[in-house]
Amino acid sequence: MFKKKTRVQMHLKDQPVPEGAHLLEVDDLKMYFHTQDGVVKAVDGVSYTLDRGETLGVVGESGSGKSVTHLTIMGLIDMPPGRIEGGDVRYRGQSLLKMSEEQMQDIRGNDIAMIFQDPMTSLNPVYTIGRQLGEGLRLHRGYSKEEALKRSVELLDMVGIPNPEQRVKDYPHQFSGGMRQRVMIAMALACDPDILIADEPTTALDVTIQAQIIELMREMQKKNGNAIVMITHDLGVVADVADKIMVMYAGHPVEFGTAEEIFYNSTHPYTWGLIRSIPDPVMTEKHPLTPIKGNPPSLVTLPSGCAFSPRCPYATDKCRAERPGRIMVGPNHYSCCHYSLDKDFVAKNAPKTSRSKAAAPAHAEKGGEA
Amino acid sequence: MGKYIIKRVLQFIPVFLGVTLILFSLENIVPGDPIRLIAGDKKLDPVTENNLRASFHLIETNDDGTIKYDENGNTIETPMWERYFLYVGGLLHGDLGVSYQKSGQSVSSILADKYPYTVRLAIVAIILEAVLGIGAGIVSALKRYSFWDIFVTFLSALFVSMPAFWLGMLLQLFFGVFLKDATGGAFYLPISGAGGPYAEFQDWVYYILPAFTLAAISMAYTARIMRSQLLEVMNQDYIRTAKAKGLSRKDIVIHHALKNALIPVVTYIGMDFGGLLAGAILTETVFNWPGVGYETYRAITQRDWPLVLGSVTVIVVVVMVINLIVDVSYAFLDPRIRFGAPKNER
Amino acid sequence: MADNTAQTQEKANDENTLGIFSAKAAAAAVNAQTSSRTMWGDAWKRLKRNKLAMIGMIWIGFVIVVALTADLWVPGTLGSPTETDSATMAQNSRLAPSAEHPFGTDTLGRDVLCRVIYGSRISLAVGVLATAISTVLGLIMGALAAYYGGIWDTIIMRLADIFLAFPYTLFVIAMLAVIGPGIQNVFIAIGILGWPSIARVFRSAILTVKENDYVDAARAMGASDARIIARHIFPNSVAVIVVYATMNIGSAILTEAALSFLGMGVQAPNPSWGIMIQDGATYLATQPWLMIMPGLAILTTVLAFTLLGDGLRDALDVKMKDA
Repeated sequence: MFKKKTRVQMHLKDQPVPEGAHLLEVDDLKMYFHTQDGVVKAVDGVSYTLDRGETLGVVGESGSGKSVTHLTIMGLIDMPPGRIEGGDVRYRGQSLLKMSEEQMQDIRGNDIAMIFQDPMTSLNPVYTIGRQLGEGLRLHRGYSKEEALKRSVELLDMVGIPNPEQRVKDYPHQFSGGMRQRVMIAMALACDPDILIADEPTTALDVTIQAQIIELMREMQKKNGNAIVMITHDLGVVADVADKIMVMYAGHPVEFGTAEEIFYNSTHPYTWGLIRSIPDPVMTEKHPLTPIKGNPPSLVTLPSGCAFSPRCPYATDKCRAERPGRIMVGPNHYSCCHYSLDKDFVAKNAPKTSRSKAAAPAHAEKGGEA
Repeated sequence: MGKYIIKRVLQFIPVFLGVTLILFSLENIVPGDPIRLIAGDKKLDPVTENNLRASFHLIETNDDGTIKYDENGNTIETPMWERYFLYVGGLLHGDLGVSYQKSGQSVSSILADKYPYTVRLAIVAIILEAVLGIGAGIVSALKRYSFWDIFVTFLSALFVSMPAFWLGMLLQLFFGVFLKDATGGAFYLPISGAGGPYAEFQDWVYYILPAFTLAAISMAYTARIMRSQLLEVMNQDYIRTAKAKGLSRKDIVIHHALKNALIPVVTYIGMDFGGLLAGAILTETVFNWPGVGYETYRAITQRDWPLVLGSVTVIVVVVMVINLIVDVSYAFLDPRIRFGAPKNER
Repeated sequence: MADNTAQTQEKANDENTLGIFSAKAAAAAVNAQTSSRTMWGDAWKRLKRNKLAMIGMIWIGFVIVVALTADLWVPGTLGSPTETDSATMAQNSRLAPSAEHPFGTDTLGRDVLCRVIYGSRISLAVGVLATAISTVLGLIMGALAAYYGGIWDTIIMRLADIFLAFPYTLFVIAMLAVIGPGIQNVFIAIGILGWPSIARVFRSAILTVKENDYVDAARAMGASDARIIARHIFPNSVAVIVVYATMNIGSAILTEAALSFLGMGVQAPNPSWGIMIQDGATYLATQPWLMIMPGLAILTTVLAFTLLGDGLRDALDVKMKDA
């Protein structure tokens, strides 16, 4: 079976977070793919911090770099063609980018776990659920086969799979999509990780199942106190669960703030576009669903100036010429739009629904540090 | 799983009937009256001739084996469909007809002597194919674009583009002639025959060149399939899941990738046993290997068509049965088939 | 045809090297902007960039030109491929390669290069004609199966299964045992027995195309079945057929060589490459060039067709899943 980890190593997870540091700190991370067709700036200056018990929502269209960013953090991008071009990722004060592959193997699944979009293909078809669930425990915790199986049954029970003693012997194809995603969650949480990165965990599922899966992740978070990074293209999905939201466009965060700030006080036209494209049954006012026109730009030949300018209905010559930096609109709220601080511009163009609630205490809440 | 096996066996029946029908039709279109061909220049008396015809089921017989006559005292020609069923029945009992040339010796008795040689050769070849082909494919995939990858890709392109019998001759030339001359006769490999009839241990050197020749093409395909399967599997989502769990590359390859990638490769190798038996005709001819293949070649040169068709028939039936076994054993390898998963999830 | 499947998957993998994400899509978007011509123009551009395929194509072109023009210059320089001059036979027998006879001479004193050149005519003829026969048969069967479906589909596809259950070479041998050896029969046997794989490919190509709206549109406008197949479905399946046919030529050449080697194909004194190898087998130890030269001719020609076929498959972006 697996080569048991023989070297004695203090798990990073058991050490306290150093003074002044966060559980996870992503600092101006840049990762480019070097391809025949040119350099693809897939991750281009992403920064955020995360603490235990927190949930970060990462939102953007497909190709905006939200998944690649987190695969980079996990060290799951093949290098080459990928290459770290700058920045750092620190977990409990230690740089993940500087770790050896062996050290990263200790981190993955044990300290930081990840679940993926398609539960249909994310489980190995030729092994039983129990074997796959127990794999991490045997690897990171040195469990015996029997111990791992016993724990697998408990985990399945925990994520609400009926009749776990039987199901643990089943193969992935004998589970439905929603059940498989529950298995994925159980698998990710098996070693009690600090951080759970969920990459579009509900996109491939039925709407009714989606809510159950999100609810399950929240429940587990309450129980274990882990942090969650929820990656999605659907702002609606993170609306209820995220403490902070990072909106990404073309490999770059364009707006960052608390959920409240993003929903009710956003100042970036791209965020507005995302908000306008959520169909919301509870909206009191009828408003047309306005899609964002055009397609995300090629990451090889980014437009000059603001990357969103070709699709932005309000773009000016300045936008097309000059790339906007981070403009702080609140203590922990920034936006990459030249006109973020222009009150008239924001008042005139932001989605009406969020304006109407602007009176809500938008800046009152801080990032929700635990 | 039972359902899957039953389905496979049921699918096998029409294919079997179809193939035997084709063989039967071929045999019965062979130009010339078989009895005349057996007799050659000899003049047969009517009783002997009728007995021969009866033994070929060309005319009807009573249950006790005596020849049936109509009211005019003439023999009755057996209808085609009846002859087909008699043919299939005979086939199942190992009755393949009579050789033209070997003075009425039955085809099955001629082939029975030769079969062990061919089967042994094919088994050695399939081991070579599996070990070298899978090994080369794995190295190729894991060390992609390396020297080894290019070497394996290049060699497999050559192997599938050259006639296997020509490769056999090149090997004979190098290992049997050139090497013998260069080492003054100290080291060389035998290039003709199978050693003794009992496949004793010291005979193994006789197997090297023919088995390699026989395996060469399949080996190339095995390496290609193994390489592409492994590369494909390594791109699957569940491999990413395993990586995200913290497994090392080695563990991922051994525990997660290989089992999935091997399923189609093992199927290919199993299915290929038949191809090897078919290829044996050429290989055995080159190496004077005393098996079914060489016998078939001799029969071709002597225009002994019943013997040619007989050995083709045997090989074809063996191939079909092996394919059925491989198909069924697939179920044991792949849980998705074992438990009847819908096709789109495989 | 298992190799095709393998190669397709290989290609799919190549596309996925970047893993997964935006990089490829981004690059594709770049490409889409720079070039938007016709399918064949694009394919030709891609083919031109594939060095191996171009080498294959140049070699095939060379062999074709040599084969077609052989009568003009070969008899004057290298002599006749079939006839022997009994007066000089003894001193010309099995000469080693020299300036006068670049590939040496055979037992009957004939120039081996001359016979290899004339042999190319037979190999090319068998490759092209047999492939043409199987392609036409395969197209008809595939079209019947896919377009009419139901019972036609079942019967034809079962028949294809039966044919494919038969080891191909054995089937050809069995058929030649019945219809007799000889060049025409080799065409017929290889041609007739090759239809199932083309039929399968064409059938699945049609089934894919049939789902498209423009076929429904054509039908709604009252086009006949034959017209729909000829005008709408066939042009959309041409790429697949071209790739298959190219690869099939190589394997037909190999089959012909094997049959002639066994004495079931082309009959002496005609210069088939397979026969030449068989003739040379006797003198393996002493005059190896007798078998090496025709073997090299087979190897290079088949390899050229394989490389060209691979290149076409990539250039035309043909998925070869079910063959």
